[in-house]
Amino acid sequence: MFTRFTPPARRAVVRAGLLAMDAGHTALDDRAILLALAELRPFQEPLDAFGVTAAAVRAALAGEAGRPRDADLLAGLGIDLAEVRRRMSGLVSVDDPARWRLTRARLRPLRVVLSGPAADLPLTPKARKVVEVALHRSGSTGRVTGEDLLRGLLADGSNPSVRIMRRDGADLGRLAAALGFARRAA
Amino acid sequence: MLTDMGSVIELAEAVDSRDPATGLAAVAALRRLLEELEAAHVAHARARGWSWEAIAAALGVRRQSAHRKHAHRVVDEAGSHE
Repeated sequence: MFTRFTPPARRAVVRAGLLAMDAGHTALDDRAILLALAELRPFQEPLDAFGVTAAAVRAALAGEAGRPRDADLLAGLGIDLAEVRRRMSGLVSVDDPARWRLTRARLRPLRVVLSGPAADLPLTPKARKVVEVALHRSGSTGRVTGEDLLRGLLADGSNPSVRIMRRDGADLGRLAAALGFARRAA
Repeated sequence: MLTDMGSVIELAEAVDSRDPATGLAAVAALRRLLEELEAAHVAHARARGWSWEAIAAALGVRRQSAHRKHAHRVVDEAGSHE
């Protein structure tokens, strides 16, 4: 599926996967996609209407998760996760987007998995929907952009990522208008 | 999981906590790290030209297990990227 993504959009999805792994998740959810978009801003245009900062998203995620971080749990075992990761980094470039792919399982069409050198991360149903809407919005010839991923997030108001943006005070109406979303969807 | 659970359990017993929830969560975190390490080392071995037979032997598993678990994920240098 990544062949239909622009390089920045592909990098954002891979980044979302790495963030999900860092958070100790075994699946990729829409909140990780929001954090990656806020971090990398992989947009074609400056898109001022998308004002959520990575720090704000990270703070919201930290407030939600009641679970201790992997790094802390492993420290309890005497394992320094940062050091293990540092030694691993010489093996393969885990964050190289070219080493990751996004595939739909042939026999289970509702299962989309982000696979890379370090993990297989199935997309949660909501995250899968984000990607599907983004692919849909990009049309049959165009490629998925960062804006399309953002449209995918906004397409479902019940997405936890949308809740984070709303709580952060984002003007979603203005954002949707900037993305040409409200108009086209009408 | 390809790896022997025994060593993981031994490690988990060293958790400096008497709270089962913490101990179990630590085991789960360790398992995630183990999967990540295994995947990275397999990808590295493939990039270095190792055969699936050699990788499986080093991991102590059957060739099919290693291949089934990792082949779809590893981007071989010679292969396509998509």
